[in-house]
Amino acid sequence: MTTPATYEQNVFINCPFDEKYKPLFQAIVFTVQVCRFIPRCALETMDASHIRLEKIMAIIEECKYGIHDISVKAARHNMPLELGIFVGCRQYGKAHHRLKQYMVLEGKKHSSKVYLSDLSGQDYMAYNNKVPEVIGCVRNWLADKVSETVFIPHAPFLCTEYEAFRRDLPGLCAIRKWSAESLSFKELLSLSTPWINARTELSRIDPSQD
Amino acid sequence: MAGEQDVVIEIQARNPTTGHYIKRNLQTGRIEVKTDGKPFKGVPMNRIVLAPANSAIDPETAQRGEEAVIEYLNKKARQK
Repeated sequence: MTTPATYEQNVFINCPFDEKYKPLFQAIVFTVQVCRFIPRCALETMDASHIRLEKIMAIIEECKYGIHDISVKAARHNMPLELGIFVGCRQYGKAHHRLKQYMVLEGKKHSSKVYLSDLSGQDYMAYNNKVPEVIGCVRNWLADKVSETVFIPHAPFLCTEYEAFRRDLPGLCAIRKWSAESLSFKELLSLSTPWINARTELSRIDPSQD
Repeated sequence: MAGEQDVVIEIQARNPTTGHYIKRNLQTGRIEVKTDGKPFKGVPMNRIVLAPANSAIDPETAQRGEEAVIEYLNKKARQK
């Protein structure tokens, strides 16, 4: 497989996709976009069985960065599997894969080590199951990966914008006769990208222009 | 390009999911879209550029999303 041109900007998001986690997932997607990266995740493919796994592995191969929340003990165990694939790709992949980087999120501090003790020594970022804190964790981690000339707003501003997006989401969906509760990953991106472009980004002048 | 003395009242950026340019009036909040892939003439470009689109988004979905955002935000702007 050839390395995509967007490899350095692709961020693989590995987290639960259930209703309870949805506000956190959408906050992570939103923050990744505002930080000028491309959110990728397993929801891009909804096929069953081994074909789906192959597609997930292909997505992981295309992503330099990974955000993994393995702290939620869900009925399914896809998150530790996808983290393992990501770490394995970094270890055994091609030369550029050795530079893959990932962060491990956890809802409560030390909650991941309970059942993934092999990850001891890894730096975790706890977000206390709160949206503003997960935005802060992701923002601070990604802000470190971009050029110093790139302006990334701080977390409080991003939290305000994300709340505004969440408020607008039902109205945006109503126009398309979509349901905010049933939005697919692609539909979410189709709304969040122009929304960020039109509202967050366009409503201020980049200080780097000064 | 706006000079130091100019007051910027409109600014534009490219929507990476559709390739269209979106212009926003900073005073009224009104948004316009240009669908030919070329930027609005005489309107400063925001240097904050979003990353390229996720290639998993099909053009039809991207187009529908963009239309919804513009219609919704313009409706909000009119209500203010």
